[in-house]
Amino acid sequence: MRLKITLGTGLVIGVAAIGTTLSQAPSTVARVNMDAHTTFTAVTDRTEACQANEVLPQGTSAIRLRMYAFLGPRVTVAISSDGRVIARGERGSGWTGDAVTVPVNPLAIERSGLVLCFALFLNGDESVDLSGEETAELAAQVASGPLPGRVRVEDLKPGRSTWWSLGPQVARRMGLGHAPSGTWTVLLVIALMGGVVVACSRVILRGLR
Amino acid sequence: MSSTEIVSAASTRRPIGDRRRRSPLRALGRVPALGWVCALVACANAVCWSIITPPFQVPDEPDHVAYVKQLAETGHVPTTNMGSLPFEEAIALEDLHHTLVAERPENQTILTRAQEQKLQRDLLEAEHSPERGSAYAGVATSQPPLYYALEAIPYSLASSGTLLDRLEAMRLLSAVMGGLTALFTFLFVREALPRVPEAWTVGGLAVALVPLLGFMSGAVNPDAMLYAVTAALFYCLARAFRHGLTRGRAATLGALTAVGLMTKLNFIGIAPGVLLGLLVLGLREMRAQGRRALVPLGIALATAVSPVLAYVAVHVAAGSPALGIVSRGIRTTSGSLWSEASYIWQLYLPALPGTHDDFAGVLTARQIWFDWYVGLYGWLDTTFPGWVYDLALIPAGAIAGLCLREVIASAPALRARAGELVVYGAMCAGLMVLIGADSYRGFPSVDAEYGQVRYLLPLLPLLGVVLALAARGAGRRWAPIVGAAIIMLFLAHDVFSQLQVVARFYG
Repeated sequence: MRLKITLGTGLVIGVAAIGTTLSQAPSTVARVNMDAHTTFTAVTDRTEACQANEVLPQGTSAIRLRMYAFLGPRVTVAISSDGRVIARGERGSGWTGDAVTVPVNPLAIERSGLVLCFALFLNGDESVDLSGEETAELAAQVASGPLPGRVRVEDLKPGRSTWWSLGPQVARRMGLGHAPSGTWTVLLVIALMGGVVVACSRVILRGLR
Repeated sequence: MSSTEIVSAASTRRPIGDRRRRSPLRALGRVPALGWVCALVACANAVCWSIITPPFQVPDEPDHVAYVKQLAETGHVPTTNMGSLPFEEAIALEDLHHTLVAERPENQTILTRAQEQKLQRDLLEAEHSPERGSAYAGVATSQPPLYYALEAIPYSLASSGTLLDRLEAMRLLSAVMGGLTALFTFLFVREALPRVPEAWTVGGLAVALVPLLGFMSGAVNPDAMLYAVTAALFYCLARAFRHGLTRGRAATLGALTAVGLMTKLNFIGIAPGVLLGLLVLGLREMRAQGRRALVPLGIALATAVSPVLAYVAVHVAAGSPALGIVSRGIRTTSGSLWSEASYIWQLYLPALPGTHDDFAGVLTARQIWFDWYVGLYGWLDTTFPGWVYDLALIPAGAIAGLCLREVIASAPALRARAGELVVYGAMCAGLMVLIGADSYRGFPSVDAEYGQVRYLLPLLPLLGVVLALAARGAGRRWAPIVGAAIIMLFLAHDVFSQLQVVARFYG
């Protein structure tokens, strides 16, 4: 009986967690500060850089900075208006890939003419490649002077559609670029995972007594 | 599990001289139904991963597919890691926007019917290309051929379809290997904890649901076979420690070692531990039987090293470097041996006082091994939100605590199996040192190039035992409840990992 209660509770929690997750809206890119996406420099030491003339759309919940590291350092972001910090965020070390997403506190209204400062807490061993646009105009500034370019910044905010409403579109996309192709493959995955859940439940009830 | 239950594992060894012959097929027939359920669950899970993961969106899959294509279409192994992929594959990668999607989580795979039609049209045209295979297979070139030779079978069977059909057929074979990994993990836990049937279920089923096992076994990658071979080795070693090293078991252990060496170079890290196991088992038999016991040991060692000797002999006879293409992969490292040892240590544990901190600001055990086990898919570009990794520390800590409790309670009994435990430890250490040494070659320009959890998955059978011990650590009354909770935790982890991959590629 206790096993049945444990299994039932677990399944209810699982279904509720999936339902809650799918009720949320995925992040969308609200704004990008440039089209370019090329590596313009690599930094190896602790770096604090600021770039001016940034815009932060209303409701931005995270900022994605374009930079590559295999094992990224801690990153902090502060966005200022007239010398006053209006949004800030931090991402711990250990990120990987060619972008780091830093959550920030959302603003009630869109603000422009902002200064975005980011700090990379490197120790001098691994490097971080900064990507964006190689330019002298509005280049990111560090203490020793300007960097050879400006980092690409993408502002993210929750979209309007929930995962539930996006379901048919996601299912259609899952059927493309695959073999076998077609939306029916989604049903196959659901059926297989349903079988896995049933098998696990039966094993729990019979094998753990 | 009590001390007596663990002791029973060591004491069920049959008397010397009792060497009843058992065929492998009969042994398979005696596998409990629950073992097959674990295998089926792992296989079905890997099939799901093979469908939801877009083609080539698994690390190095384009190179592994190129290897199979070359072997299946020309009968030759690739010979160079400089060049370009076969035309048919290059077309597929271009139409699937591979370079735009891999490592760039903001980009999705193809989204429209028009893109799909172009892909299918180009693939059909590419089939008529006179080109057969390519001597270039990127990072896969230096790998041994066994896995690719097996994958050439589904590749050929699906040859009437497009490259994507052949890719899925190959992924399905990998999924079967994922099922074997779970089966052998179940059997290993059964040998390790023979008097605790619930433990077999918890260990086997939880491992079958490990998302990273599904992800890698749902792709074309020799890691899938390496996991299965190593799991089989763990099982056979446990069986030999429990029942003695017969000629049959020695031959099986030798053959599995040979298969491992022909599957992936990473097995080089595990092989010393296996050889140590054979020596420990051989010495134990010698004490009881005298020199007669050297025969099974000789069989095992000769079988194990035969593929390496054959490989070297062929190359020496041809006047090429003794290790052939593999020689190019064995580069000398810069820096002192001490620096390298310190780096390898720090890849897993915090820096020791007086050593240079190679990973300043990073707790490698947490941020590389734990966080990336919890969720890092695709080309290392698909992650969970940050809070998930913090939350995962709670159940992981609880499992570690319960396991430790059980280990402490069973310490006297475990001492009786010290030799066996040392062998498993040597297999772990060998693999970890190999990963560290390989990563050190790219350091410091890349902090931890091979610091990827998939390279540690050959040790999954030990995770199965840890989970089984954790369930038992909750005490007799609560063990079934905790066991059920562990299985459901792994199931939830798997489902949410799949959803995260779906969101990343199709959302």
